[in-house]
Amino acid sequence: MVRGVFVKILLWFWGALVLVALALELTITATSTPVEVRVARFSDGVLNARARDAVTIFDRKGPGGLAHYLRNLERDTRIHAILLDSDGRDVAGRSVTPKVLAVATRALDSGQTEMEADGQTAIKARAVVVNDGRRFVLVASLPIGLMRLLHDGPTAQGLRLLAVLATAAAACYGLARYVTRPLAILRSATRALAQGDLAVRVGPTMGRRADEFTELGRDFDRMAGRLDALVTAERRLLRDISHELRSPLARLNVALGLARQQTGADQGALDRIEREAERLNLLIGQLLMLARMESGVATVVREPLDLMAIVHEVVEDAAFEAKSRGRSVQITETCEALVSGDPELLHSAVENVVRNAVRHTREGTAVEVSLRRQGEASVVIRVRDHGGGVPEQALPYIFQPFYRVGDARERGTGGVGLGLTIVHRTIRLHEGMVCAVNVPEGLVVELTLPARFA
Amino acid sequence: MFNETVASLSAQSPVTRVLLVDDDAELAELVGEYLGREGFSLEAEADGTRAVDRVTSGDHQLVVLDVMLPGVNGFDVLRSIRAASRIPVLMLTARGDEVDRIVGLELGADDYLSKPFNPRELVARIRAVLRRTQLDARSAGDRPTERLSIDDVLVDISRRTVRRGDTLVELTAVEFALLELLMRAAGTVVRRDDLARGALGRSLLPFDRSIDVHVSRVRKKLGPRPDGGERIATLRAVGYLYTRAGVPSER
Repeated sequence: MVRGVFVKILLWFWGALVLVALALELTITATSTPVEVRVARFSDGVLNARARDAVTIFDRKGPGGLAHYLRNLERDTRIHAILLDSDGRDVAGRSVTPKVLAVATRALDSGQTEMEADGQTAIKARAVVVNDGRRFVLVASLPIGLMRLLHDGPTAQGLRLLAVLATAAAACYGLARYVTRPLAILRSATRALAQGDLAVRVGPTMGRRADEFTELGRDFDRMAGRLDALVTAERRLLRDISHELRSPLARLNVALGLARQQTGADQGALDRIEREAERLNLLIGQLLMLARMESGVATVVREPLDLMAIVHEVVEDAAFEAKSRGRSVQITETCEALVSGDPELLHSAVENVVRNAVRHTREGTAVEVSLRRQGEASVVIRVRDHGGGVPEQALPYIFQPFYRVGDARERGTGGVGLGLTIVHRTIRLHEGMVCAVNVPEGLVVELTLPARFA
Repeated sequence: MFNETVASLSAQSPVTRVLLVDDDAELAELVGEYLGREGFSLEAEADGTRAVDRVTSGDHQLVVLDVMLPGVNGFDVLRSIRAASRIPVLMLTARGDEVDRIVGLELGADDYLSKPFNPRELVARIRAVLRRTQLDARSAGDRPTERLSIDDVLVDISRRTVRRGDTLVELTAVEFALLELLMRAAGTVVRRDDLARGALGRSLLPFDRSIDVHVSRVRKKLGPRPDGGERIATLRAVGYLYTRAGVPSER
């Protein structure tokens, strides 16, 4: 919630508001006429009084006292002043700029207040004559326009800035929340939907707002509703298929049993029928399993599994079968590896790969199976056959349903065309990877799975 | 509520009567013919509610129940049957549907078979389950009184009754067989496969949880030992062990 869009909106709008406020203040200050207070501070009467005070203090306390007085004046009124004698020299001994000197000279000549101003600073000079006839001139300069801001009291500036920051922050927080709240609702709903909660709807939680977000919410609800209907229909269809296709198969099996009971039946032909019926049953089972995995609603059982035990089991079974066909299956390398997963699915995945290899390896050769640790957290099951491999351009497709590399090759060996697809889906479901590569005289299939090691 | 119909009827009729609860009339006809030649008499019932009535009437020695009945829930039928009788129930489930199997076993089915099934396998399962119950039934009269007793559990082998203290504990045939096997070997581990052979009359299949479900039901029905310990200890992937109070289990 306090990440991404929320923070971006908050910072962008806040920054923008602060900049606008600053720009506005600068513009107003630059274009507005000087405030009356400032004019009063700068008026002739005031200057005259200040000049006399300054001379008196200078006479009594010397340059140090004068400097102190002028510092106080500057702090209180922002007026920067210096006192010059009738020759135009600073009584405190500092050098005087030509501009100041020019104004001071004019004031001494006229005996009046003289003024000089540019865009940034106004300079006024006031000549006074003290009782003993000495003449002095007080030159005061005051920043006007943009410069004035810099000379404003730091407290006032800070207060103004703080007010802007705080108000902008509050407003932007509200805005960001207003914009991102429906996003957060939509996001959690989308997640729930992705995890299989098809009943999730956002309509009731969106409140009474009416904008693009609520429209998006309504669209989401429509989408979720449609998905829900589709998945429900698919589930029902799967159950129906399971029932409707298997009913005739069940009858076929019993009828086959009846035929066997009769003496004189052609057992060879019946064996063949039974094998085909079993193959059909297997195929229906695989189709259903695949459909369940594809729909993403199947909950995969997660339990700690000893992968080495699974590999040994599969290899033992496969070796037994391979032997009768003049082939063998060997384990070339194993390691202890714990994976988290569905025992039945993983067992059938490994079995499918090994059986596939046994089907394709040439007579007299061995299928080599290895289980090897890869890095810190994964394990690779590698199955290699000696069957001539797969045409390079066909490699990416062998995990697709019913893909046949060569018509003749598969038909004779009894593949049903879904085994490797189930392998692929299963391994993906377990956050693993499957790949197939050609090696000299054969094919290697590698299953990589996340694993823990004891 | 449990009546000794199994005993009385098997004594009267030489032919074992099996009730098949399945909506597929054609399949029922074929199975009936097949079982007929194997020496069974099969009746079929497509309606779940009527099936419960027919089972409780006590005319049958075994029920084959398809839990995938359309319309009614096969599990409800199973539950109703179990509420009234401990007749052996063999259920038919979809292949690969492990949840259905476990739910069925937990509700008290004795064994399962996935559909489509090989009729030879069906006959083998029926015989295995019946062998137990008919053996039980026959032995009820003529075997001398034999009792097993550990802690507060008393098993009367000849009368097929189990008591915990003064309470009668109702067990199905398979559960009783399991308890008997475990108690006879109390203190030593009985392998899962031996339990399956002894109680179900068959070996375990890959990923077969039948024994585990049955054992957990026995455990639940017996409750903990008087000293609070678990009566039946599990040795993961190996088997089960009946423990005595005061004797540390080998876990």
